[in-house]
Amino acid sequence: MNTNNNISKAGSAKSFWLKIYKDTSFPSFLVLVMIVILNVILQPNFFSVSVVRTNFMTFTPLILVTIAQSIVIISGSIDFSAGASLSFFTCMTAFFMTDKNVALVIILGFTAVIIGNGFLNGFMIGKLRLQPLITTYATQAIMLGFAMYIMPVAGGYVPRFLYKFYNSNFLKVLPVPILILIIGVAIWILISKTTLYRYIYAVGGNEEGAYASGINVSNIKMFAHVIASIFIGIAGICILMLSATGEWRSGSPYLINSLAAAIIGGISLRGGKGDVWGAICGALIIGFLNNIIFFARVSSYYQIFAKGMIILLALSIASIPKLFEEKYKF
Amino acid sequence: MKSFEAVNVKKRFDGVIALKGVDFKFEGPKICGLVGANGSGKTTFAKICCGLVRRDEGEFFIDGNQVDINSPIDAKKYGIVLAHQNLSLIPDMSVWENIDLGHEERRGRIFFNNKKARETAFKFLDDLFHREISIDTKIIDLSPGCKQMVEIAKALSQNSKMLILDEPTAALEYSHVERLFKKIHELKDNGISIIFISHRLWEIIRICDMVFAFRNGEEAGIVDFSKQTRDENLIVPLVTGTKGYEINNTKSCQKDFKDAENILELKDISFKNKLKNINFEVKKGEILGIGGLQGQGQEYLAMLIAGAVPLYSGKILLENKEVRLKQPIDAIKKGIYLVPGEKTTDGLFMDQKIFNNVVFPRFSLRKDKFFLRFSKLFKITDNIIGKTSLVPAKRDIIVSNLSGGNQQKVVFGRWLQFFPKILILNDPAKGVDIQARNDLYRIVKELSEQGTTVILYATSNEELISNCDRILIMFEGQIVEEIQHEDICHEKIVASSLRVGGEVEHKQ
Repeated sequence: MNTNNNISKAGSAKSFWLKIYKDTSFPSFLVLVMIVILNVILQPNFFSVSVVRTNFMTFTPLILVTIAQSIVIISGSIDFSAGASLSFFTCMTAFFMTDKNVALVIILGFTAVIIGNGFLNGFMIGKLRLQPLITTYATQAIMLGFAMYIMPVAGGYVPRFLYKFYNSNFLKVLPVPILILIIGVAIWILISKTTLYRYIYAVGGNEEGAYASGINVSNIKMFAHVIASIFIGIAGICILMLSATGEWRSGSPYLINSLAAAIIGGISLRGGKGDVWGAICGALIIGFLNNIIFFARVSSYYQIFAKGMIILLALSIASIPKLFEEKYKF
Repeated sequence: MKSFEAVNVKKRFDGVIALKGVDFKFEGPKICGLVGANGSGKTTFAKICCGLVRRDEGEFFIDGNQVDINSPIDAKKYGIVLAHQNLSLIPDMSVWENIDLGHEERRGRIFFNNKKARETAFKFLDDLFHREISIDTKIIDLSPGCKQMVEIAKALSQNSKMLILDEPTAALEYSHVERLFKKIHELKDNGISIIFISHRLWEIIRICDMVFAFRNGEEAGIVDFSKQTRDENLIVPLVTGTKGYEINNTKSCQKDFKDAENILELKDISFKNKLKNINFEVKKGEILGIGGLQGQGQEYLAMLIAGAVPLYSGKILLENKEVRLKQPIDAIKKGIYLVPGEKTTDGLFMDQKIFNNVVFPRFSLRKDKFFLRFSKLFKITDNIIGKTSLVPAKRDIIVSNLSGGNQQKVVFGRWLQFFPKILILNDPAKGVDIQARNDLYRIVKELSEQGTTVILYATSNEELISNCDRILIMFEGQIVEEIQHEDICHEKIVASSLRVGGEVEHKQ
């Protein structure tokens, strides 16, 4: 088509590289490459299937929670209850699970997460316009309290085949954690083709403008939370299969890690900026980072210290292009 | 739309009455002009019509049927679309996504159709503005004029029955205005009514079928051009409320500054491809105009002198001493003040009181002791409010509740508390009514008599002609012409802006 030719005329080689350079996820991708190289050096048999599988057994839930967190942050909100939702899910399912009702319990738990994390937060933040940070902090406390009530000490029952399944290869080639990750990312790709996706960016970028364009802002804010809760639910299943118990502490590290991952991945806390691919890079960075610290044989006394330093370093490297951009703006 | 009627529309914001009860009625597809001073309620009325602001009282009738408009979604249902002044674009989205937003081209019910959306966006932009903006640019990288173009294209691309254009021409240049007018006539022929809001009376007179004048939140009168002649003098008294009214169009008594001392000199200033080898000097007390077509680097030049463009090459001499301006505070400390082009984002703290907006610059300049003496600061603020004749004259009003002209007065007024050596005005009269504009330029002239140098960039040539002692014309980042005071006239400015008769150093 004639108009089409004119539109895509700018797609020359130079603008292609410029586009990549200007992409919000580019810096985090660079950091990821650096960290992977470091990891390859330190971790033996890095590319063997079993090592990849063990790695992704812990990475997959983090990546999924980070996707959830990113969607919510892009819509201009924040989810402090992500970690507690995971704990809530594992405690609930492990408490009720027997050998016979696995699917039913998982579906019920999944629904509970979507209602508790998604609709409840979304209703209060979108419809009632409550402040997101404090609202989700409160729901976090409620869900954590509930999880502690039904399972004060770690326990419950998870059938053997469930955690065996997570630690195996699908059709003998594809590690199951990666399969789950692919399913999650596929869901995201599907969502990113809908109008809802663009509305989420619009609402996060300029709420008034979105309203003026005839977008139902409160509904979009709510649906951002609901969609995010789907990913949290999937991550919950992964954690359940990974830890094979229900514990109210199991989800808590994922909250801060997902926030860190999203921000290293170029998602702006002001909303409307950044994309989920960057956030996935960010989550992988955080994941590999734990590996590096472990395989570099850092004494356990200094591990947390080292982790903090490396996160700061990763964040600063990821922020360098932004620093330049702001200075070059005029 | 056969008829549209609004009856007794009322609105008040925080105790400030914006609309006292407006009646608005027209029949048949028509182009209706809407004029009024800043703060007369034009924009509020437009926003109420499209559901963006909820009315306190009032009823709407479309084709005789009563309709209830409470949100933009309702308005969309009835086909009422507003092209906003500076509101509805999402900064981090590309041009085509913004044009598409809210009425997406879809494939099925939920998936969107990017290819078609891009084509539509391209079509509408191309129609009006001939490929001056790439549809893949992000809004945040566009100049105010281009944003306005996108805003208009966005409104046009929707299937509307009534289109409200809120000061569409304020940031547009002449050739674009012409094309917009042509498009408006086309729309009218297709049965779409248009409400056209503008401060420029000649535009209203040219294209409108009838004119509604607003004053202080009321309808002050209607001029129907099918019955009355197209004459400015019929409209002006309705807007100002007084019979006699003089347009400040006389040439100022331009002075000769050949012997005055240099205050600012720019030598070989370049910045990326935006500014190329800028050389000029300004004398003390001079009013220097910068003209030319829109987006030829004038805004960058203004920003550069104000210290907001750190990475320039070349030299800036202030009072014959070289200075390096790395950030705005460097310029402010030296007495160079900027009134930015986009007041809402670059000039004001919109959610703060007038008082706070006025005193903030004092803190960065460390004019006060650690503990503030509020009585003194209140006095300074009141003084500025008086000088600029701000309405309402209360220092506690939140700035976002003020009208555009009064907001500009706050931006402008806060520099009056210091003695500006150089004042840079970036299109100060954009979206400002005649009265406020005259107030502003009156103060500018007073300042220049006291020895302030003023650098004025304005999109309207009339403002340059009536105020400047000397005008520089820019084209593609270069100064192509210097017009001395005896030669200043409209034809000369237009000719040199368009590079008529001059050799065009343009490679395409």
